[in-house]
Amino acid sequence: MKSMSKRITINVPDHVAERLDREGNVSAFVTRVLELAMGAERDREILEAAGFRSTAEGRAWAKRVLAEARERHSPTAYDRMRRELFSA
Amino acid sequence: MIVRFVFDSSAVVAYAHGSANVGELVSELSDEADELSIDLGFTVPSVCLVAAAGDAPKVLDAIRLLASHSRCQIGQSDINRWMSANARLSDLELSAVATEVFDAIDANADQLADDQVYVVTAAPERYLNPVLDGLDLIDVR
Repeated sequence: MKSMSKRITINVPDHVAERLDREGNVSAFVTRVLELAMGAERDREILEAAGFRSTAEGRAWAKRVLAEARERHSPTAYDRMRRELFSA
Repeated sequence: MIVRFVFDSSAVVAYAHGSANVGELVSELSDEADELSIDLGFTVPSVCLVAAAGDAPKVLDAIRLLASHSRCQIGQSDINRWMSANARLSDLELSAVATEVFDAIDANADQLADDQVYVVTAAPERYLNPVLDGLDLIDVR
């Protein structure tokens, strides 16, 4: 079902206006960007509902473990696993 | 969606108990997706959701919320691949996780995104199986 729409007028800084000038359909572009932001907001609420609060230390931990995992990655091990798991 | 993480049931239970580490990984994933404007996500094999719900019946609401996260997809592995993996691992959940990992690797390759896929777990000892030696684990304990 197509949702209703509402016409609004907003004021934006010059650099934002210049960016919007490059869009053929400004309404669609603004809607898409806002929907992404709303999704991110909802995702944060989902994590907070489980009691999670992001911290600088926690974020640093995530970056570090991801970097370490990338470092450890062995394509050879994955080739072997694939053969052993899926080649009957 | 380009899958970056596969969550096992222990990671889901950890999330449901407010695990900071699970939350930080998901937040990092979301930020990276937003910054690079790419559709990154994580998958939870359906069998892991069921196992998590069985282990933690009081946190069903939290599990339902996680499943509704915009970057979460519920994995439904091909039954033949899953059973093939189970023939080697004799563990349905591990087999589902491993199958999701390789499904994701194959799907990511189709999208020209040669990203690695990490298993997120709070029970890394479950993966001490010679067949899975070298699997990229992220320990969220």
